[in-house]
Amino acid sequence: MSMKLEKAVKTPQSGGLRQAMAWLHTWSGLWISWLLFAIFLTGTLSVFEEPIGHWMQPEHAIEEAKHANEPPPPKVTDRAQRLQLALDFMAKAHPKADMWEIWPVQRPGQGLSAYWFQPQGGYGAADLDPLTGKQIEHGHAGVQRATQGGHHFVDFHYELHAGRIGVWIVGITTMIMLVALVSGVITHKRIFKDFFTFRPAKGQRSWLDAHNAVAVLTLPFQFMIAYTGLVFFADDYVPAPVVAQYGVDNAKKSFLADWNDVGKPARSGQPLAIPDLEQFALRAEQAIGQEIRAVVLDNPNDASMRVCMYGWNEDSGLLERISANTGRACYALATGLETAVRQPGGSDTGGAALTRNVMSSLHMASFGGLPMRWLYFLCGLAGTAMMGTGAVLFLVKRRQKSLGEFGAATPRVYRLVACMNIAAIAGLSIACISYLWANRLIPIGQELRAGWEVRAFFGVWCLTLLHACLRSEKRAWIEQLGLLAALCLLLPLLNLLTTGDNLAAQYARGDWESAGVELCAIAFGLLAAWGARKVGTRKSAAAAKKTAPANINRSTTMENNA
Amino acid sequence: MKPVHMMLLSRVLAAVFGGYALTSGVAVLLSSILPLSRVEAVQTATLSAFVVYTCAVIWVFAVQDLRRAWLGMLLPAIACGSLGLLLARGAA
Repeated sequence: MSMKLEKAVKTPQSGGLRQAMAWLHTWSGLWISWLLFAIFLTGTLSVFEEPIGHWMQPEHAIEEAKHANEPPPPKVTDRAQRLQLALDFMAKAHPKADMWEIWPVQRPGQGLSAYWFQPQGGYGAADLDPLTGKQIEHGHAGVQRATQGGHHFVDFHYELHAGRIGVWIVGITTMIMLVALVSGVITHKRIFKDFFTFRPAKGQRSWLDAHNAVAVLTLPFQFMIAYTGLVFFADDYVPAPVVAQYGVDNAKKSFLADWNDVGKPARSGQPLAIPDLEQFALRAEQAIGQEIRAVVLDNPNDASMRVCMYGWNEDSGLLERISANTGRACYALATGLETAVRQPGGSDTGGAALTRNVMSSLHMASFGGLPMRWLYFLCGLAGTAMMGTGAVLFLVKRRQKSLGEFGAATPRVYRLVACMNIAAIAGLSIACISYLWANRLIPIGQELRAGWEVRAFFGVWCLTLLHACLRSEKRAWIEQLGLLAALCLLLPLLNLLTTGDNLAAQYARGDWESAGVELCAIAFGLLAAWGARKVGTRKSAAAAKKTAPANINRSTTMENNA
Repeated sequence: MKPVHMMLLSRVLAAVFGGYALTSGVAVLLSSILPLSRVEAVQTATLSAFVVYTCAVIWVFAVQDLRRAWLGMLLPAIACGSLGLLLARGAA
């Protein structure tokens, strides 16, 4: 492409930095706003994965409540014996596995579990009877309400239920979000002044103010959550450094071994009997100051045998530090020597690994307890609102005067954007609450029940897109927001009719997880009803046109360029 | 395709693929020269990659001259990448 041509053609770049960034912000933001809205809303719901899962298994919740007033069962104290039972089980059932992991959990309600690496690859698991060491078969699937619970939202927000492909789509979208955030900040020169500006009921200006307010208020959170989200799969997204330093063959595997499995011994071929592991558990408890949760045995019955004891994070510990790393102490069993100790919140390899670990904890809010979860929930909702207001602002701005970006096709593109906005914002929200409805409406004995709940989520979402395309824009907004309000507000009633449970009963038995889900649904329902009413009373496009000139004269840089 | 669309496409490609090449090149160099153990240097380089990518994309969309945008991505990408590979740590 010649330089001459470049000068002759007007590009966003020829108008200076701010205009170039405004262009980048608008167009990078628009195309990802729909998917990002979905990722942010489901990610925000993921904060309360456990309460949602709790609500979605009412039989379990009610069963739990029956035992709530009983004194907790006494702490199990026979760890030495249970360790031996698990070792016997592994020696009989999986002698060839080169890693045995035993959870002799002492806490009430926890039993005895064994995990191992299958010789052919993969992770095996068995729950054992803590008194006999016999494997427990979980055969009562028909009675339970099979569900993915809140994990559906977790899974969707990072891989869209699409495995590796989904991880890449979410990763690319998040990367574009970082670009949109930075270009948005550069565009927005009056960033702090505008933060204190809100002009309600002024059409385009109000949408812009709302978009700016939620974005600026929570900007550090949005940067943090996007960046730390990328970190989970960082070495898949950018594999070059791993390949450069670890060679092309098995690079990832060697890197992971270096990172997560420091000092794993190589098999020697000489036999060695497994000693009493309880004494090592006691030593490890002294070394790391935590109760032992997991016992990991490498190369069982080989002279190179190593045992690593992992601690158990107390909730109070996670109020004091961000890293969720537990303590860990390792021993070479041939000599009985301690080979490595990691204190709780520490790292095996150093600052970089700890940074990565802290970034994961920052993303998942695994620290700080319930108040932190609520803070994340609110910031996540603000991020969701940032996506939604941005997408709506794009059209509100162009409703007054088409900018003709797509030539003759412009009206069709605007119409498409309108459909996508409705299906992404109202439609996805409907899909989320429909997922909870499906949980109560799909019969308990249904085959592949958990899968059908997820199918209901996607099915409803597709229907909302179809509906948005078939109806006029205003009608579609009103109808979908109205449906959303109804589904949210009626959720407690649905629960009452299908399980007999209700807010009063939840309150009476102190079940704030279930009550929280229903109260939040009511709050979202009221918000949706308010939205539907606002759209219903909105001035028609023609009336809005008459008041437009006054707005245009006072517009800011961002509005001019966006 | 109109010239303006060709130029836009070229710029987007420079940002996406040129930016990714630059990101990878810088990450390889960092993982080679940082005075840390191998696994720590690789971690640091990987964790920093998205800062590099973001800045690269912003820069590509900020400069006027499209040729400069392409060269600004590819030359440092090649320079950093090859220097990083030359200095790459052995299997130790």
